[in-house]
Amino acid sequence: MIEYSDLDRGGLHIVCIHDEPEHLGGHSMSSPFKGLGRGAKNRRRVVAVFLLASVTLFTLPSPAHGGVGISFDIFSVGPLSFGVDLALEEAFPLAALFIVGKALFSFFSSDSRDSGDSYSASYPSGGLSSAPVIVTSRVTIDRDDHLHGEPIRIKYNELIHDNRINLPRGGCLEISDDGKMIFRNSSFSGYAYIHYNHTLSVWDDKGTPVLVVVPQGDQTLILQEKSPRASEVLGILFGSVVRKLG
Amino acid sequence: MKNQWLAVSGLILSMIASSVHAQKAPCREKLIKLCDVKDQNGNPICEILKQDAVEDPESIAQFLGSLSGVSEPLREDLMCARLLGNKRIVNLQVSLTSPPVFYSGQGRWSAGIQDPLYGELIAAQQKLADLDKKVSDQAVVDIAGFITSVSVKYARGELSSFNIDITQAELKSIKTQYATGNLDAIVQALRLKIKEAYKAYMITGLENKKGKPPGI
Repeated sequence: MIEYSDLDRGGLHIVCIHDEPEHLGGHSMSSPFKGLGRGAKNRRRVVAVFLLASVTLFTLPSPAHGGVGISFDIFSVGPLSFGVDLALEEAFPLAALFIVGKALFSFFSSDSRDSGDSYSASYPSGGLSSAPVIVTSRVTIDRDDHLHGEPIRIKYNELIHDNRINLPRGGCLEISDDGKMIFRNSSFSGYAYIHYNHTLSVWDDKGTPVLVVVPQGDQTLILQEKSPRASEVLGILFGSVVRKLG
Repeated sequence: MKNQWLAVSGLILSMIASSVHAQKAPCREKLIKLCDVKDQNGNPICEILKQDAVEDPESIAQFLGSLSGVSEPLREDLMCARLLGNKRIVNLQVSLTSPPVFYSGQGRWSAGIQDPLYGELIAAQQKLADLDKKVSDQAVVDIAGFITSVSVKYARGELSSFNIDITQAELKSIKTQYATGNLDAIVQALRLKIKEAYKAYMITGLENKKGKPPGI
């Protein structure tokens, strides 16, 4: 239902339009189009008189006023328009009221979704800087370097049990953190290194090189000391096949 | 006198004999197919001697990216274990430049190529580019070499870039606009192309008025 009411406030005519919600499934939505009886004829007459009076009112000559003010156009259709003219002395208090009201509304309003262009950002708590975190790592070796303990454990983890690499003839190589792999439970007393080019070097306790095994394509180059212990170490590492090869 | 001369000759001969004996290598050297023998399968030392898996820029980027959340000391150990040492890297999409610093994916690859043919490849490539601006220096290469350094940078927990230094690098395969093969084959193909272009310029307009325009 639409209700029109005029509020006369000191010569200002403000038109308020109230649109009341109608009950869902109610009959009022279709009632204006139900049969046009006597009541309908009366309503037509009232509307016609209202329109005639309005046209007469708007077309009557009125004395002109001079002054400075603000004009609000509320509703306009073709040549007709309804509006409000405000003198400055009336406009300022209203504008002040409007600004104060809007400020109060904004202050107490917690819902920012109506603002249209909202921005939200989250920052880590504790006053940390929001600058992007750059992390760098660098690893470098020389050509002759050997792997240290942890890279050996990572790379050959499937070969390692209890920090040891078991050898075919019994015995094992125990891995130290510095990469030294010490022969344990073996007839040879010494240690070995795995180098980054996949070479294996074997040294005795005094640091003398005994054996170097170098992969070369599908073959293996064996450089060994001319001694029985070098042949023995070769057998410890590779098992019975080396003995067959002589 | 005669006895003296015999004594000196004997001494010299004995010195020569001892020096020859001293020149013998104090160690034994054998080149054998040790780990190909059937019953050596599963030998731990043979596993250690095996070469690492072939990498490409994608696999390395994925590996390094996966380390973003790992603590720094462990990340460095993992990088050492997987990337340092003898490697073969395939499908590097690069611009052939001198010095050979390649950019492929998020990586910068500094390859110490010692083969003098690489310099000739760059010169031939440049000559072709001078002859025809449409010639591209883009190539897809496979590199084998010894990786001595890897550095990686993460920004906001994501892989940002990485840098790999390879020494004693060899270009195993090169695929260019005109040829595919090893370094020698590519250089030969480019030289031939240059010769053809020169010849075309020399005979243009002399033999067949409707002949092909000079160029590559």
